[in-house]
Amino acid sequence: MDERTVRAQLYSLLAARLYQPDDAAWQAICSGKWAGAVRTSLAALELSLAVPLSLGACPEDAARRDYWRAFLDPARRVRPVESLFKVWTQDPTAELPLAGEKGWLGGDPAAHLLSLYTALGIAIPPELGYAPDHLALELEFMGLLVRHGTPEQQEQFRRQHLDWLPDLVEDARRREAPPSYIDLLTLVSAAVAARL
Amino acid sequence: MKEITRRSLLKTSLTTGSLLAASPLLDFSKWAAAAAEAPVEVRPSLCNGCSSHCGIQVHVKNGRVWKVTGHPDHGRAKGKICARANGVIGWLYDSDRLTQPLKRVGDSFQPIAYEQALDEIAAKLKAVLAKDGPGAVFYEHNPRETATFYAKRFMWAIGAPTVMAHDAACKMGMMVGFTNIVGAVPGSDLANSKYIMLIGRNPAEGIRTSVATALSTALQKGAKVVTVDPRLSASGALAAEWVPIRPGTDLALVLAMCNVLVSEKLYDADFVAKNSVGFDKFAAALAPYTPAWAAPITDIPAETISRLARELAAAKPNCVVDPSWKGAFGANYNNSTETARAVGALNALLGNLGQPGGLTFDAGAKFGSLDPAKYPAPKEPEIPRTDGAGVPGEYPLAPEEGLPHVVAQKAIEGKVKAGIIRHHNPVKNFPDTKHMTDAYKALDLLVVIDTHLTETAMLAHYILPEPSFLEREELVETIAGAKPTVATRTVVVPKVNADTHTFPEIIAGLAKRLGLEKYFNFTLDELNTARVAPLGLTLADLRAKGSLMLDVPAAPPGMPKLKTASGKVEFTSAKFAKAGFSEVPGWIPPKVMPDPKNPQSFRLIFGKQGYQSHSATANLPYLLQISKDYAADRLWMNAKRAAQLGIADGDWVVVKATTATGKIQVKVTERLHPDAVYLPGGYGNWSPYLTRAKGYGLNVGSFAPYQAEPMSGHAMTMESIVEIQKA
Repeated sequence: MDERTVRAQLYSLLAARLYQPDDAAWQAICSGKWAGAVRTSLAALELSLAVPLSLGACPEDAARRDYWRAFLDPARRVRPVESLFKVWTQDPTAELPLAGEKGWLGGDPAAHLLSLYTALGIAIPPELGYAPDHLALELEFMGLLVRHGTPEQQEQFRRQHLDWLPDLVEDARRREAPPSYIDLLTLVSAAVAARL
Repeated sequence: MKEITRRSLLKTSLTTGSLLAASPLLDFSKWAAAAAEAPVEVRPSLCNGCSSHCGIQVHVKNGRVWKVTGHPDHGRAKGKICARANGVIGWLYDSDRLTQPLKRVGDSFQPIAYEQALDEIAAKLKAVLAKDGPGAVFYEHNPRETATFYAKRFMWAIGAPTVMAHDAACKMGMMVGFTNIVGAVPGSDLANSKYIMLIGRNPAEGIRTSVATALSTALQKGAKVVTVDPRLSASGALAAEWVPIRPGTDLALVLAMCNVLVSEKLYDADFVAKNSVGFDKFAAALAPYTPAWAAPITDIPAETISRLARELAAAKPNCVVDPSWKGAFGANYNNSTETARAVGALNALLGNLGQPGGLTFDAGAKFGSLDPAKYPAPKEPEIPRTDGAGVPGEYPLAPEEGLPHVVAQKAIEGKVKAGIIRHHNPVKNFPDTKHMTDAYKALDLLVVIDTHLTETAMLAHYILPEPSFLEREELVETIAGAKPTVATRTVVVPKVNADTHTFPEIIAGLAKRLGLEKYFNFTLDELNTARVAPLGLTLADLRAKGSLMLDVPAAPPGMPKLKTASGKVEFTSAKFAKAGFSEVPGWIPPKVMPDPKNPQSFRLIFGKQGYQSHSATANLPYLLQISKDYAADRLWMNAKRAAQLGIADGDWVVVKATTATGKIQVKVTERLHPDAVYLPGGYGNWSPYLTRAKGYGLNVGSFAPYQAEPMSGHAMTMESIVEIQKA
C-alpha cells in the first residue's frame, strides 16, 4: 500500500470511531482489529505515536456505553464540532450577541465547509446537517485531500480547520469523558499535529 | 480494515482534478474575505420568544442570521423588539437542539429514521383507537394558527375531540369570566386612558413591547396608574400608587369597589340602563360587599378602597381596570373566574366599553378558508371531550382550550392512552410535577414534537424535532386592532437539519398512514392563498412584506355590539346559573390560606420577568446570563416576616410544599405582602438535555397540587401554601 493510501485510510479509521460506528465497526473496535490497524498504519508511516491499550479489544457493551457517555450523554457529552470551539464569526458586521462568542453551531468553519462540500458535490449525512464541521467529517475530508489533493492543500486544511483539537481534548477532560475517548481524541490531535 | 473504512460519511466522486480546480475555495481566509463582501438581506418573520409572535425583520448574510430588528408594520412590535427576541435567535445555532427523531429505548433515547418513526407512531395510534376509542387520545400545545389548524383537523379526522392548549395554567379564568359578562376578552386602550388600574398585571415586564409603550404613553400624558398586586412589580414602580393586596382576595376588592360605585351612585347609570341586563340583581347582591367588609379580607384599608372607586368614577369613562392576562386572576385561584366576571362588571359600571381609554373590542382580519368541495374537512366528533371541557356535569363553562391537568388525571385512571404534545411543556408548567409525570408515564403512546428535549419530551416514546421558527413557513396570522395586522413567517434561512420536519409535514405523514390523507390534500401555499384571498392580498406580497396593517373603516364610537346572548353586558348569567353557580358575581374565598399560627407558612405566588418566557427561554445563554447577573431566581420574602424567621437577604432557605421541596436563596424586600413569598416563573428545569438551564432556580409548578377550579376547571396555580425554613 502506498503512503497516500495508508494515510487516507488512517484518517478514515480515526473518523469511524468518532461518529456512530455501525455494527461492523463496533466488531472491529471490540475485537482489537481497529487498534491493530491503526498501529500498523502508524508504524508504516513511521509516526512514533502509541495506540493506548484503552483503544484495544474490549467488551462491546462497555464500548457502546463509553461511546454513549462520551458523545450522547446529555449532561456531559463532548461535541466534536469545530464551530463550538471558535468565535462564531470573524466578520465584524454581525450584530447578534453570539457573533463574537464561542459555543455556537453554524459558525464560520461550518459555513466554509458547507460551501466547500457544495462546490465539490460532496454530500454529508442529513443528520449531520447541523454540523458540517463535525470532526468525523473533517477527518474524512482530510482523507480526501490526502488521496486527491496537494501537500499544500492538506497543510492549509490542517492549519485552518484542525487547529482546535487541543481545545477539544481539554474539553473532553473537563467533561470527564471515558478514558478511552480522552485517549482517542488525544491520539487524533497528536496524529494531526504530527502531520499525518 | 475495509469493514470500517467502507462506510464513508462523505459521499463523493471527487477526483484529483476537481480538487485542484477548487484550490481557492479550500482557503478559509479567502472564503472569509469573499463572504464578508456579501450583501445583507432583510427577511421578515415572527418572533417565537413568547406567544405574542411579534413581527421581526431578520437580517441575513450568506444564509446566516446577522441581526434582528422589530417590524414597523406589525401591531405588537411596532418596530421594537425585546431582549427575548434577540436571545431566541440562538435557538437556530444551539448545541442543545434536537437534530433527529428519537425513540425511547429503556431509559434512554436512540435515533430512529423519520419514516420509521411515523410508521410506528401510526401503528400504535391505530391500536389505541381500535381498543380504547378516540376518547382515549389527546393533543396539546401552546396554540398558534398553524398547529391549531392542523392538529384540530387531524384530531377530528380520527374522531377525537380533545384538543387542548396551555390556557388552563395561564388565562382560562379570565377568558371564561369576561366572555360570559361582555362576550369576549377585551383589550385596554391604555395610551388614551386617564386612570389605569392594573390588578396583578405587569406590562412593564410581560410581555409585549407595544403594551409597555402604551403604558408609557399614558404616563407621559398624565394618566394615574394604580397597581393592585401583592408584589411591587416593575409596573408598580412606574405607577403613582401600589396597593399591596393579600394574594387571592382581588375579588373582594373589586366587589367592594362595585359596591361603592352603586351605593354612592357614581356608576354610569345611563350606560348601564342602555347597554346591560341584570343590573338590579347585581346591585342588590353587592349590598354586603362594603369596603369595611373587604378591608380585613384584602388587607387594604376601607378608606383606600372607597377612594380608589371614587377616583375611577371621577375618570369615567376614560379609565380602565385592565382585563389582565394571567396577572392576578388568569388561572390562579379558586375565585379567578369570578374575579374576571367582577372586573368585567366594574368596567361596565364605569361605562368604558368602546370609549377612549377604556375597554376595546377590536377584531382581527377575516380570513378565507379552503373550498370544502375540493378539500373535504372532517366533521366535529360527537363524543364528549375527555377533559370535561364544555361537558355537562364536568366543567360545562370551560372553553375549547381545554384542561390538560384533568386529562392527566384520566390517564392515571387508565381512561386516556395516547397523546401528542407540540411546543409545550406541561410536565413543568402545570402544577404537580408528579401528577403530570405519572400521567404521561401511564400512556401507551406519547409523541412530543419540539425543537428541544424538554422535561415533557423526557417522558415521550417518540420525539420528532421541528425546524426552528426561522427555518419554516407557517399559516398566515392576524392580530386584532383598530388596524388589524396580517402577518406570516417566512423561511429566513434554509433548514439546518434535514432530519427535522414541520408540524404540517408530520401531521400529513401520520394522516396518510392512517388512511386520512383526503383531509390533507392541500399544500401550505394553497391554504394560505385561500386565507388571504378575501383581503385582496397575494401570498407573494405578504411573504415579501412579512407583516402589514390593514386600513379598515374605523369602528363607530361608543358601545360595540357584544357577543353575549343579549348583545349587551350581562350582569346576570344564565349559563352560570345553569351550571350551578351564582347568577351574579359574588364572593368566593381562595381555596387555601397560609396558617396564621405558623410563622413559616406562606402563599407561593409567581410572575414574569421581561427577559424570560415560561420555561422556553431559560436555556438560552444570554437570557440566562441576565437572570444570573441580577440573581433573578431568588425567592422574595417580606422583610418583617424574614426578620421573624431570622432570615437575612441572600440566605438559603428550604421551600416545602405537599408536592415538592426545594432550596433557594432569598431576596428580603419591603416590596411584597407579608402573606406571600414570590418566585419568578420559568426556572427550575431538570432536563439534562437543557444543559444551561438545568438546576437554575426552582420550578413553581412543582409546588402546587393537582386541582381544578370548579367554574372553568383551570389549574389554580397559586392555590399553594409552602413552609419556609432557613437551610
